[in-house]
Amino acid sequence: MPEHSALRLRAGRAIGQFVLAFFRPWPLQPIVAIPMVLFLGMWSATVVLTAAAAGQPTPPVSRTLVSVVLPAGIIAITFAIAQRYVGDYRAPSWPVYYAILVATSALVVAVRFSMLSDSVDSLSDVRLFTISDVSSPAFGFLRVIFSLLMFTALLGWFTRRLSAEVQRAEAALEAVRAQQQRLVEADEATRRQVAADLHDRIQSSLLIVGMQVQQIAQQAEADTSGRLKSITDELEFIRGKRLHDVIDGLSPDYPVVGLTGALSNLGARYGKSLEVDIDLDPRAVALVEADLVWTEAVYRIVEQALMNSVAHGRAAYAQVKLRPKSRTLVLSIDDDGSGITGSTIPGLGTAITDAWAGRTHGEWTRATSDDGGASVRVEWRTGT
Amino acid sequence: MTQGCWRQSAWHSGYVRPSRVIYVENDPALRGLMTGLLSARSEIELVLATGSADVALDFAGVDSADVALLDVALGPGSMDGIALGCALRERNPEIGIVLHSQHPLPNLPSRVPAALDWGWSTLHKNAHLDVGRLVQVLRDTAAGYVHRDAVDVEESADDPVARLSTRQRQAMALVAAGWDNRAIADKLDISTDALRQDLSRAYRILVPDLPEGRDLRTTAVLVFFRHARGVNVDPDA
Repeated sequence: MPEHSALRLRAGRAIGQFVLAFFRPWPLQPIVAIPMVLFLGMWSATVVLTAAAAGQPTPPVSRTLVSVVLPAGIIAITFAIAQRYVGDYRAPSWPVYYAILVATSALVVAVRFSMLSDSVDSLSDVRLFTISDVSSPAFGFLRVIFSLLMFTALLGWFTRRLSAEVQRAEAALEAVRAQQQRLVEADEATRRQVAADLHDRIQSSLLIVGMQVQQIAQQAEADTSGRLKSITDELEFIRGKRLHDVIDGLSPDYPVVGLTGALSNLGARYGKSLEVDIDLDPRAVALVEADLVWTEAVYRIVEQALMNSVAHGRAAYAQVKLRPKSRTLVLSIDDDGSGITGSTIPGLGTAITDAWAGRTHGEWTRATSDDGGASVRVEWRTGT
Repeated sequence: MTQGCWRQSAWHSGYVRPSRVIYVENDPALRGLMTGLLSARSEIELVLATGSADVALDFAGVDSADVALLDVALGPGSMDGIALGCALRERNPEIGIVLHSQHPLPNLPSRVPAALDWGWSTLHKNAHLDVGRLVQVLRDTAAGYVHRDAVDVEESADDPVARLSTRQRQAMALVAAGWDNRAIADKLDISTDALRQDLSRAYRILVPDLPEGRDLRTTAVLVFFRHARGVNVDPDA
């Protein structure tokens, strides 16, 4: 039956692969941790059992404390050293892994022999690593090896599954961030396009119509001329103020008005509802203006922060600062509103700020300042 | 506002040679209109009118041109008027540059190097174009003077419609709808004299300073429209 043979072969191969995978070397982290935890357990048991054997009702507190704190401290230091020098706890090779396993098992057995006497052992409830037959230490040694091996293998198996889940979650998060940035880029491109159309077509057309009407007004009777000039004034107001504000709000013409001009216009649009103080260091401005995306990022982040100041913080005053500071560039927006309350839910504004900061490799925070208002801060590394 | 001078102009020395002007504007309608206006002036010799920055840069007459009138936004894919101005200065260090912009530019853009900012003016595009003034700015800039257009479109934060009485507001709504005074008086059940007084007071509130040559009633109606958006101006209300 070749089919059955093939099936058996496949099943055997699968089981073999599973066993190999299960007992393969795992990161040293569990192996290092397990003897330490056992050491902790055995020490405590020793203390308790010694006290019981001596007829004392309770073990001395100081010894119990030491028996807990000392191994815990050793474990913490071991992990810190491992984190510092081994990094992501990479698994060692097969020989190294099993050599360490055997060595730690020997250590456990040695500790066991040195710490527990027969009389204490007979009272012990900690049976897992108890060497019942002291005259046969080899059997006890094998038991410890097997127990450690199973323990680390199980831990490693679960760690790998967890690690895979974390990697999937991180990949999903990265994908969401990338989509968020693409949406922001698309939004900015659309704004730029609409602003350009309004500027090049609508605003220019209104200008030409106004000029034509003005020419007619100059040749018309006084009464008609006066009416036409009044109409031209209003056309100019719509073109030069209303439409200009719309275009500027959609996408400021940064190469022409500069970052300072764009932010000043943004602040001025709030009128009496929010007094905005723009304080930009010229060196910082020059650095930002050299990169259009960075310029857009600063503008959009400030725009969101000011919107939040008015909509959520009910602020009357806001200050925008851009400063170079020890190899970083710091943008801060502080207001005198009600600050970031516990019930403040991150919304679209937060997502936009997050996307722009991420797009320009900046890090941002928001908090309630000492004065009680909201404070948004973005830092970019400049290297100079 | 005109300030500074870097060299004595031919104009001021009494020699009235027309200023040779390069004009770059990517909107063909505006370019045609402006070309017609400038060509009609004896003080101006329009040596090139084009919509392309590249054509302007390749133009052989750049070296002998006195001044360039440049639109700032020259269309997608093209260098803008500021970059073009800098490039023209590279070719002809004495050429004056006038930026003709939809944006009010009270200050020269920071992209213009400080060493080049003499003879570099800004002019805000405006339907109330005074050709005489435009010519003067061009000639002054050609002579090295600097002209900056003040921001001329400001909106008062005050809402004059809110200061109208209910009857004045009703009367203005009917004027805006094209009704004559007699019909409005009948509608509001008041005498025409009382209506005239109401409208007169409303006009003073809506148009405190009437610019010269404008029609008061038309201006008042337009200001009323501007501020009454979203406000209930139903005369029956």
